[in-house]
Amino acid sequence: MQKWECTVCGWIYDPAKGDPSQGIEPGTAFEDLPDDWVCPECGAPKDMFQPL
Amino acid sequence: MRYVVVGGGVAGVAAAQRLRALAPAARVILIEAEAVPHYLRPGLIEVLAGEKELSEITPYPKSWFEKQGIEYLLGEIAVALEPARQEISLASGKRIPYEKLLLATGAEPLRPEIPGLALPGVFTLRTASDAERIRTWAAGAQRAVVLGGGWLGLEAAHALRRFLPEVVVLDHGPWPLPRQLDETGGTVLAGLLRKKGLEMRPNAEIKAILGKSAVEGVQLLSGEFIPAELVLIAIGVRPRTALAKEAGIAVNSGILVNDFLEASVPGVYAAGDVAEWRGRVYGTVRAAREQALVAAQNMVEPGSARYPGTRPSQRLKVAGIDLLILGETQPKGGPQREVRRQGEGYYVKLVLNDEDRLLGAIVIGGSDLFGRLEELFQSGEPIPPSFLSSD
Repeated sequence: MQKWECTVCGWIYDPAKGDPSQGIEPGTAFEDLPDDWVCPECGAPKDMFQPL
Repeated sequence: MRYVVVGGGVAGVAAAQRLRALAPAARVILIEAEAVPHYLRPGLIEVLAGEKELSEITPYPKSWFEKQGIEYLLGEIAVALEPARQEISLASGKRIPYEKLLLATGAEPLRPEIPGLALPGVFTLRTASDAERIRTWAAGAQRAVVLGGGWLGLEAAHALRRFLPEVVVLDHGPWPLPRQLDETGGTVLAGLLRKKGLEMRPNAEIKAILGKSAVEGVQLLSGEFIPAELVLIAIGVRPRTALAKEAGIAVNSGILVNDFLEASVPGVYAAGDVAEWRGRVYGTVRAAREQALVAAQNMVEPGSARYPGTRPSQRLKVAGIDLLILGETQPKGGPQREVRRQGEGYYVKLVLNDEDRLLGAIVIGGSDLFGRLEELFQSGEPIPPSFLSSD
């Protein structure tokens, strides 16, 4: 599955891992993240990510 | 209901958004001392390097907040808090009453006690205007000295080196990131930083910053003089507690909060870099956000959410160098063994218990190992023998 990188801090969203800190299950595609999801490392919203 | 949040960094903004969502009919007022709308602080390094504009690290314009129904007071400095009257006073003379208050005033840079701090050309890096002022000043500089070999010092030195020919990192410690790295790791990292053009000066004690009308250099205790037209101080931060302290709210290092993130005065909460929970001031974006969301929940419905603590952030790069630090890297006592591998610009140290489960790890270079090690660390599975023997 497509990984996405935060353009502000470089953190990478890996769908295989999800983001347990915000209740995101492993296997969740970036596109399916809720609108209020943000980068856990710097707080950037979804639209500040780009596909890796 | 009337919710007031003081401080528009990551904690304050996250809390204001959550308050808005949880209490659609309430007033939500966000007070921020800086004149620009909320930006993502980790991105200031890129602004300093000239790689990004402030607008590129600013997620939402001021109008976005207003559309959400968040009253956003920018450039307003909170100067006094009167819990008995439930009121905040601003430097502009305005008074803002609250029913529930969140203090998210963040942290401020520490400064050493040495002469010369007030000279033009001496900076700290915390705010957007700091980044822009440093950038402007650096245009007329050749040489910079960065005080401090922690995360911020190394990141800032690397950013400055992109446009200055000489950048010296003066570190009073024996190697960079001494809290996270052992001596070998620190030595390998220092070597990589030197390759990137930074002059690393460990065990350096600074005596004074010297100059006539502006910075001309720094004087070390050893007597050595290092010329520089720019000095950046990055020796750490401390929670910005003055507002709370003067209001009689209990403060240690940070504002003391309970598991509901409530301070010692009813109706007043704290979150982020200013908050001290169970003896800990986290100082990470992740913790600031998580605390802010719990605090907002409790401001709307008291006693409804307990903060469980935040797991450590996994930082994967410093100054452009791949670096993974997991768990306990320098443990004391207990049944354990270490596996080390080392090469040119490359260092791996795994700390294992007697069942080969990973307690901690340092990896410098070798980012191909990061994902697998993080998985093994989180799952607690034993490290496969093949992993330990392979090159």
